[in-house]
Amino acid sequence: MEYYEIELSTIGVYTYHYAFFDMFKKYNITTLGQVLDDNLMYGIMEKCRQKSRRELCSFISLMKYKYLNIPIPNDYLLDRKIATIEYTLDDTFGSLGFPELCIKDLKNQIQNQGNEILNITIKDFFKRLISQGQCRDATRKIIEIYLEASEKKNDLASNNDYDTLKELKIQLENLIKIRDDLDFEIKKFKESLSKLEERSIGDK
Amino acid sequence: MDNLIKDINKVLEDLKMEIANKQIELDDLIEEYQSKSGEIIEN
Repeated sequence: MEYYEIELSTIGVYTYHYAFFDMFKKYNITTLGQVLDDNLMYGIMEKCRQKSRRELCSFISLMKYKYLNIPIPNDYLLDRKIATIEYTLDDTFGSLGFPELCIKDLKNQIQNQGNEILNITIKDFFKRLISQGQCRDATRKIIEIYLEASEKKNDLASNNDYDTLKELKIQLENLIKIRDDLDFEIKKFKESLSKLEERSIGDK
Repeated sequence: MDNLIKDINKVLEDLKMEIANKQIELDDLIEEYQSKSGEIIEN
């Protein structure tokens, strides 16, 4: 089966705990192909609340990594120490694409592990959770995607053969396309906002 | 080749950070647009 035909209900990390779940239901978003269709997803993001939008944005990044091998932009958060993000755990784990229930799960795990957990990085915390086998299924599946991506990143940084170079070139091209698409959307919204302001001044 | 790969990895990391920042910028712009346009927002 081609990746774009895969049903979201079968991929494991997609759960009804995501804030955008009802939007997907309403707009009949049921396949991975739809989630990886940037135009369709930008359209959904325009319609939903910030919390749903942020979760959706991170979820798309996870899917782009898992199925298109595009690096995850937010993976730099994995190198942060728990202590440095203690007061923004919700935002941080939300940015990494965990739905609310999984965030509660992760925060409970941090509380249960004692103070020494504060001095390790999120990546090491994730490794510990996997080895302890204590988190719920949806949380574990997202963690596994990050740990796999991290290992792959290390491999690409330590090898120096021609295949590595080719792989990095593809990653670079994919990220440049994402950056350019974002620039286009940002420009579009700036123009829409200017028009709204002009109209508002004209009404006065 | 070693240095080239190191350089490309650095560019990749910078690009990822740039994308993460642009995602935040777009998110803020959509939020501002929604609030100013008065369009009905769902869930």
